[in-house]
This record gives sequence, structure tokens and C-alpha cells, in this order.
Amino acid sequence: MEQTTLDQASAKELNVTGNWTYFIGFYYVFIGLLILTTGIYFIANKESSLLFVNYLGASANVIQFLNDTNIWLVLGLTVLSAVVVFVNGFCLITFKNNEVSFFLTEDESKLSAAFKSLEYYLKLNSFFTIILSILLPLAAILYFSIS
Amino acid sequence: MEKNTFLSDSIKGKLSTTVKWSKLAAILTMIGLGIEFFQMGVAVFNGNQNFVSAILKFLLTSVFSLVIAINLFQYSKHSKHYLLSADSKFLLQAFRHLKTSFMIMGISLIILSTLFLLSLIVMILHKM
Repeated sequence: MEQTTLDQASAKELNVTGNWTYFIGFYYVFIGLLILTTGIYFIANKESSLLFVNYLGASANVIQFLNDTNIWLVLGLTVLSAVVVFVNGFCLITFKNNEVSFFLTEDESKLSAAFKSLEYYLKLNSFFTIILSILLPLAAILYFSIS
Repeated sequence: MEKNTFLSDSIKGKLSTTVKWSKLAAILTMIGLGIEFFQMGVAVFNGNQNFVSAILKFLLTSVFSLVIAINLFQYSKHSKHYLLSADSKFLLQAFRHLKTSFMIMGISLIILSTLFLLSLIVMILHKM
């Protein structure tokens, strides 16, 4: 491969990208915490949670569905969703941290690590897009066939 | 950083991996949007959803995803050109698209969260 450089304009763009990934990363961590808290609250206070959902205007079918759902399934899905969101957020925060370290120290391994974090984030996203693209239509078919 | 930095083969290797994965993520997002559109069509056709609300909901979420996917795809394309030609203008273009992709993602998160909170407040106020 030829000798290539990272010029200042590109470095600036990469820096702004890092700022956004930092924001999105912390947002994901917050959402992960929210999912975990909501899930645990739902399990601990099922009756009052259902009353609140009913108060917000959810249909009787939804209330019935939530009431019949196995509590361990809810816990499992909650923890799984929270972990996925946490890991996504962690990858984005690590991307920014490594990129800042690279700009401060000019240590090439840091830029390499930043791209590695970006790679993990993209891998996770691709994986879960595939999973959701399969699961959501299946869930829709199941829902419509039951109702 | 005040001067240009030489990129080692190791960094270019990592960049090359992100090229593959960003392309895959972009294509999968577009396929996902297609499936979502099909689902919406089925739901409207079966009368489970109102046509206008379904279109609005789909547009609200899919426009952001589509722009993100297009920018990720452009990042992949320009990075690949950079790795093949070593012309730094391609790297600038690639990082610009990566920045736009994350910027749109951040802005969409802000907008969607605000809309969600507003709808929750309106719902609670409406019930009072």
C-alpha cells in the first residue's frame, strides 16, 4: 500500500464525529438504565404498572397480554435489551476516548483502537438489524394470527 | 493535532474492516426499511392501522434511518476509494459522511425523545 496521511481537515471531521458518538453513547447508556429500571419496576409492581398502562389508554388486549406474560421472560428481555444498548453505547464512548487519546498523544495504536470500537459497533448493529428484521415480521404474523 | 499524520498499514487494515461492516450495516438498514414498509402495507391493507397515521409514523422513523444508511454507505465507498488511491480528499469525504451519519442519528434521537416525552405529557394531561 502507498504511504497515506491523515490531514487536518479529515482529523477535524473525525473529531466532530467523536463528539456525536460521545453524545449518542451516553444517551444509549441512559436508555439502557431506563430499560432496566422500567423492567425491574414492572416485575416488582406488576399491578400498579398495569394500572398505569391502562390509565395511558392501552387496549384490553395489551393489558391482557402484559398480564399473561411470564415474569422471567420479561426479566430476560429487559436485561438482554439493556445489555445490547449498554454495549452499543460503550463502543461509541470508547471510540471517542481512543480518538481523543490519539489526538493528544499521536499514538497510532489509539486510532487503531478507535476504528476497532467503530467496527464492533457496526458489527453489533448489523447483527441486531438482522435479528430484528427476522423477529419483527414473525411477531407481527404471530400477533395477527392470534387476534 | 497540528501536522499531518502518516497512517500505518495497521490503521488502514482497521479502516478497511469498517468499510466492510459499514457497507453491510447500510444495506441491512435499507432491507430492514423495506420489510418495515411491507409490514405497514399489510397492516393498512388488513385495516389494523389508519393509512395516514401509518404513513406518518413510517416517514418519521424511516427518513432518519434512510439518511443514516446512505451516509454510512457513502463512508464505505469513499474510504474504499481512499484505500485504493491514497488520495486524502476521499478520506475527508468519508469522514464527512461518517460525521453526518452520527449527527443525523444524534439529532433524530433528540427529536424522537422530545416527541415521546411530549406525547406522554399530553396523554397524562388529557386523562386528568
